[in-house]
Amino acid sequence: MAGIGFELRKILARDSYTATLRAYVYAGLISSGPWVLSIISVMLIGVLATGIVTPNVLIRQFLVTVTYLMASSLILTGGLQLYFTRFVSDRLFEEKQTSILPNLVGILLLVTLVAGGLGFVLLATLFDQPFAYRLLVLANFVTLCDLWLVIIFLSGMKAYNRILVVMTLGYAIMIAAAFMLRFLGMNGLLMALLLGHAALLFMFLYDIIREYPADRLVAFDFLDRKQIFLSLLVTGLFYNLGIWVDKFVFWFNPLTSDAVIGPLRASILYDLPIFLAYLAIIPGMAVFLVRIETDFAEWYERVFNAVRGGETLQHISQLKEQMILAIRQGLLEICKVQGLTLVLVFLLAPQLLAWLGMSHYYLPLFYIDVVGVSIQVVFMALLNVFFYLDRRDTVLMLCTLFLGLNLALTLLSIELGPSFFGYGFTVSLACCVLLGLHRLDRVLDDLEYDTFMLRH
Amino acid sequence: MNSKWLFSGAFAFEASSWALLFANLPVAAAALAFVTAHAAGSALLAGGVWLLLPRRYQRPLPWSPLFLFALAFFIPLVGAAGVIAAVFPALYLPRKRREIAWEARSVPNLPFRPLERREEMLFSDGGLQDVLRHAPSTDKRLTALFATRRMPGRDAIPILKLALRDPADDVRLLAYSMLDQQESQINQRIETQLGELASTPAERQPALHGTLARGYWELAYLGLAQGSVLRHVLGQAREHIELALAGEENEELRILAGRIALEQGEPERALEFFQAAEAAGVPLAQLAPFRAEIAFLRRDYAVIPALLDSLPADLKKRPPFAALVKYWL
Amino acid sequence: MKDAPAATVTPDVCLLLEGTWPYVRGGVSSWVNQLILGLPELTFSVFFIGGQRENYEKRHYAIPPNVVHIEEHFLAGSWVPKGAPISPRRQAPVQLLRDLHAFLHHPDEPSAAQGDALVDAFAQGSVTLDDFMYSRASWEAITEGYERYCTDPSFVDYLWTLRAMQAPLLMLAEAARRLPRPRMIHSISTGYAGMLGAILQRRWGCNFLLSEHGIYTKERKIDLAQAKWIAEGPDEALRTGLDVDVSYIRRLWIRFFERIGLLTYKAADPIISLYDGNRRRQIQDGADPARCRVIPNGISLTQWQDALERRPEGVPPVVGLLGRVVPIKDVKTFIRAMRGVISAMPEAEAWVVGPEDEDEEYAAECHSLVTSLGLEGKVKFLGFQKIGDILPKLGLMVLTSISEAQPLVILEGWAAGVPVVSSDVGSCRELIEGSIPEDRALGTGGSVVAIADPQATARAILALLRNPGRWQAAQRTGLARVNRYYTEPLMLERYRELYQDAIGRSL
Repeated sequence: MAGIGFELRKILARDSYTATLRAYVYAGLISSGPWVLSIISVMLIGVLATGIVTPNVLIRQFLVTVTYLMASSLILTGGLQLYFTRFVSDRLFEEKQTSILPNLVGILLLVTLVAGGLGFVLLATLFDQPFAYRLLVLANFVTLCDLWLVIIFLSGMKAYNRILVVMTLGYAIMIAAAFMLRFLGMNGLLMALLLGHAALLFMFLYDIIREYPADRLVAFDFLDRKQIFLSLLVTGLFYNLGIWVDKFVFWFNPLTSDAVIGPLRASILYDLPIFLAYLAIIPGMAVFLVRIETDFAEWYERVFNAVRGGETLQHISQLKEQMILAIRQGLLEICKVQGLTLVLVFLLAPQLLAWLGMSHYYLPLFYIDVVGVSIQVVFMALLNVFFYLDRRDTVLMLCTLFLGLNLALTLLSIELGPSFFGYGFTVSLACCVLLGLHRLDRVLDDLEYDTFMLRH
Repeated sequence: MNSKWLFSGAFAFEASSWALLFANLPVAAAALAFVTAHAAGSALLAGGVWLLLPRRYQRPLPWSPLFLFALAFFIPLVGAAGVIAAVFPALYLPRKRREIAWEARSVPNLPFRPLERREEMLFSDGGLQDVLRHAPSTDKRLTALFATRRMPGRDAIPILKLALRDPADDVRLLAYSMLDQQESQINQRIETQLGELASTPAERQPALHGTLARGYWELAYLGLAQGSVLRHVLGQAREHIELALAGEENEELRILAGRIALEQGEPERALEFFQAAEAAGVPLAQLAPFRAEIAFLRRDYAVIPALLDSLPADLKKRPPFAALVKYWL
Repeated sequence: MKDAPAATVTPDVCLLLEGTWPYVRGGVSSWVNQLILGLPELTFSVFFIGGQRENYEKRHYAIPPNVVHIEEHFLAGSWVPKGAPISPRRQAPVQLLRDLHAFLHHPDEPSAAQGDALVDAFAQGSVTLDDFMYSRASWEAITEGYERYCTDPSFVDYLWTLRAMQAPLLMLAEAARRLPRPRMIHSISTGYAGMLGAILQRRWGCNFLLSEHGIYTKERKIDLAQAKWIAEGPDEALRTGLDVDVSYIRRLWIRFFERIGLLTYKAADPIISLYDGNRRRQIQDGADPARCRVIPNGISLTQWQDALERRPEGVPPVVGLLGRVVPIKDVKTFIRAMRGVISAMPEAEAWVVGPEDEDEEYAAECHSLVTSLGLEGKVKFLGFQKIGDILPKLGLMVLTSISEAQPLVILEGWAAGVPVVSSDVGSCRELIEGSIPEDRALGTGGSVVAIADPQATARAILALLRNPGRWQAAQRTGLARVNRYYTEPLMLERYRELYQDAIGRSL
């Protein structure tokens, strides 16, 4: 994510209101883009399909299929994403640009084969839907897995206009295709989804292949990394699992869910609010990206340049104070902006639900979910800071805790009854954030000791 | 098998697999038929594309074609199209690196600590020789030697030579290494330039000779060479400057040649050089000190006051000319 | 790291050698070799300390049978931290670490009691290497010291300098605990070897003998004054005049060596030097005068008898410099001096006899100096030769070194009947002109000139070569002096006495 900080700083350096606004819009789109645009497009597809695709239950099946596709692809590739990001940034640091493309192709090959194989096995054994459906699901699954990996490169490429254009184009293709193919029913909708994501994948691949010329097509250097980076794989896996585990708990509990298509179950009362709530994180994510990638990253660079460049200890401490201030301000700003969004959402929620045709029984769950996702933004900011400070062990600990707590507390919340639904997710995040802040405090206190004496 | 055949075959198989999709056969049969057709199509496509790739992207086998195959196979229906439309062209069209022509930077901060001026000055600059001669503490004498690091060579070297006779071992050794460093630097330069002489084209040789002459002259001028070595060094300087003057006309070189001759104890030759330089347009003021010295050696005392008078006023007030001016004018 | 059969016998003497025998060819190593071979009735164990392992590939001396144990330790690895970040495992002794810093690094003169406490701490292992490298207590001690005293802006340089200084000490202290216990300890220099000796002496309570050839602290000061690897801050470049300070990092190093030198002097008894000048220097550096003694080097005369007899009549017009072609021998001044000699005496010739592989760049410079002074054919580089073959052909031996202790080659030259012209370094003046009054009465064995003075050297050489009477007087003086004061049996006997005494006292 370092490249985007550079770009953002360039924009912000122009020091005008339009420049700042532009920076935040970029940040918002880059950080939330794929995630949010997916949700919006899928919902739009759902809307487009209503009335044309009958019976309505097919639409629900489509939506649930998409949800499972997202969840499974993110969980499968989550660890690899983190790991590969680190790999790429190390190579860029070492100025070994020619090894980037081969390794990307290598990891794509690996993921394609694994996802394809896994998907094939699962679809063949667990499902008994028509062949076309299963084929389309497989195609979508593999495409999504590849797409998440390719998206890592977005920020490194510094061509943000192009990225935005491609994203808009891809999702536009998706919606247009849905409009045109909806008469084919479920298969048509899945086909539209495939077309959209595949368009994104291949358009991005086109750009990346052109950007990073190499001397061979495939390499597997990323497979013989040293042991320490294995923790990144586990961290990525646990983080993504943590985010989805509460949904899975609700989905596979017979009391709160029902079978929708094949083995895929969904929970009517739980799903809608939380996916809607995720739309509310856009402002917070934008602020997070801007603040952490510009201010904090800048002070961080200065502190470590001072360390390496032979500055006095007093100067280093002073710079560290500034960095801590940047972190504090960043976190505060995220809280402020997200808080404001929360208040707005709270105020507008009843009208919003009514407009979307959802009953007001969803309101309490929706409220707690919005709080939860807001805390998630702070959590992500904290993790990012820890990554900068190279505290992989702390991040792993926090993600494991998140996974464990979310699972346990969600199970507990189901036991305790409907008024506690959603609290599992939110409370686990709150605990992790509090613990994270406490650890950050200690880590920052000991930063000089740690940097000079323990790390080389 | 050439690519056209591969692509046609691939297209045929893919089309048939699409048809199978819409045929609504029972699952097992459909699956088998589709997978076979699609696999064949993907394989043929991968082969065709691979054959047309740039040489470097065809390696390493077997992963290169396998990648193309996997993309086409595991993303049924659209993977093939993607490979042809996106992956294949991209491998042929690397992007040129854009040079970032300029970068906006903010004003850098002032340094963290201001420079500290220490109040206590032990001695002024000029007293270093006295310190070396009289200071009882070895540390003070060592500090005096360190202070010469910031002085120009001409002033530092007499002090260092004085320190060579110091009773304390440390001081002698330090003076020796400092002298040695200075000398090695000049000698190394001369070495490299001598080496370049062989490979320099003829029109640049005079300039190189001039530089060499200056290098040898520096050894003499700084006092680093003495006795027979001094004679030898001056001889070398003379050789090189004559070669340089033969190649190009240069007033600076003439002045240097004059100084070398003077140092070698040949005032007549030196006068020739200086007169030639004056004829070429060098101002009298620049040549005056040397002409005065030559006049003194030839016992031509009458012209000396006029020569000294032509020096610029501020130079007349400072050593080494101040005393001379006081005497002669 | 260990060599020879495991010592089941208690070795008599444990030799602590820093950067010399058996790896480095040179005066000190030969002396150690001489000592071990000359005292075959005693058993030795050797603890060799080197800088980087790669610099010590080849052993230049065979290991005699009375060396029952050798171990080698290389200091360069001690401050390199191991891979992943380490968490210190135990609470480090805070006050001890502070005291360690205060003694070794702070400007205030430490007291004797502080020194004692420090050596105790090392001897008992109260502070470990891990404590110093990674513990929080160590961090606090370092930052305190930095904030109070350091005038140098770079903290990272300060930290690594401290590590480079203290880590080897702690590493040696830990290695010392595994050493088989000898009957006495003998260190050939101060510095790290000497400090180790002080630690071992405290640990085992046996006697500790120190003999110094060159003064370690002085040599390190010169090295440091010229060291380019100590970065100068930008502020320093702007200072002029006598308020120029040696940079703080350099001062830290000098202070460090001075302080551990002091600890060594306090622990050793007796303290031997090669000549009176060095003895005075030791006392100046803090040694107790009552413990200081002079035992000069000695050579075996029988070896050179043959060379003496093979001398031709008269004075061969050949001047020789016998030594390695390295900057410290200042071969360039010799070559320049020969320019003057050969101009006055065309039949003269100069031979440079010594290996050229130690500093190839310098050797190349010498060769090109010969060429540029027009002395090809007159100044010959003979490489490594047997000295016994060369000496009969020489008319004079010249030493133009800028730093020496007590060059054996002067004694060897005299034993073979060759007078010596030497620069005034180390004990050369004492050797050539004599030290005690009876010695001075014998006359001069040659001539002493100032260092880096080619003209004076040339004059001295010509004076002896052209004056047969003076030459013969110098020859006689040299022979007499060597026979009376500088024989090998004499030196070995004195050391034997010292050893017996020290071993006896510790039993």
